[in-house]
Amino acid sequence: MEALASLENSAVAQFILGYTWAFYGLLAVHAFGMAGVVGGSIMLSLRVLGFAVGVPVAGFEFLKRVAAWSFVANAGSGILLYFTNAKALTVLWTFQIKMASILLGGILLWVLWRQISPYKADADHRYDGKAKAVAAATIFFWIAAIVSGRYIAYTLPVGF
Amino acid sequence: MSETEFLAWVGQTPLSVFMVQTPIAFSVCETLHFIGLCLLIGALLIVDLRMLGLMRVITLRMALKFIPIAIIGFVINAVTGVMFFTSNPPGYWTNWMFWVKMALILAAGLNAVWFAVFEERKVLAVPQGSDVDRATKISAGLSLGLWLLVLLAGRLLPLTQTLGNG
Repeated sequence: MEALASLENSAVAQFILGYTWAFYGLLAVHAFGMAGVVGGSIMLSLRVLGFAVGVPVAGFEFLKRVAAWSFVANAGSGILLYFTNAKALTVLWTFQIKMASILLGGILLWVLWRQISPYKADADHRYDGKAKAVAAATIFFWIAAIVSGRYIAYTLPVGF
Repeated sequence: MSETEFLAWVGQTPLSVFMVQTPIAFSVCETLHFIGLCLLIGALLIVDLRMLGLMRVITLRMALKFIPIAIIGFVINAVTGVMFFTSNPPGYWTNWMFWVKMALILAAGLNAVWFAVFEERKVLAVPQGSDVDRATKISAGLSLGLWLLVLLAGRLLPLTQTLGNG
């Protein structure tokens, strides 16, 4: 808990808390990141699930890079926001579910990409049930990350 | 009907009463708003970036297949957005960032209509391997830029509410 308290008392955390624009600016960066990561992941997953057959997965290579940079923006802004309320967030169940969902969503996305890569040049490829199950689970966990993330604000103890 | 009467009327609609009296309604709408945003931006990343000359492995015609997903995302956000407004009409009405967001949505919407009416037909006629013309590229660039600004304005709404409207 001392380490968490030192994060909250750090100069960075105090700066963010002291400047309302900084706090909301980080929230905005976090939203941009979310749109890139989750939006990109959902589009790829939908293609695997059978939407837009005719689009080769190779076409998503650039989107993958956009999603990766969005994740960097998301993680960076998320860490800074975490600094401002580390003690309360660490033990908050919605925050824990969000972190677990992001971890699972990321792992599943990696697994999905490995599964579909051999067919990525084939525009009309129809993926098997296993790939579709991973795609559906990927969407589920990224949506779970959004839902739990949204409810962090509603489940924080009063006064935080 | 004056501005005050309009806001009072909105505040008395069944939807407004529902939003105010149902504790979970606002948070559910916020969550759906975020999901709609991801669908909208995710789909537009494919459509607009392809029009701008990236992701060339995807044919122009196939990229357009993602437009319905963007529309679904927009509809989710429009519906939940109206629900937000009914929960606190004067709060939104007097927040300048709300009007910035509305102006940006109007501009993005007009650009989308322009794309659907004038550009989409041209895109479908472009021979495989060729690029879209400059007007289509400008429309695609505007689309992505304007929707990202809508996102920014939306995220800053609570800030200007907090700081007041001076």
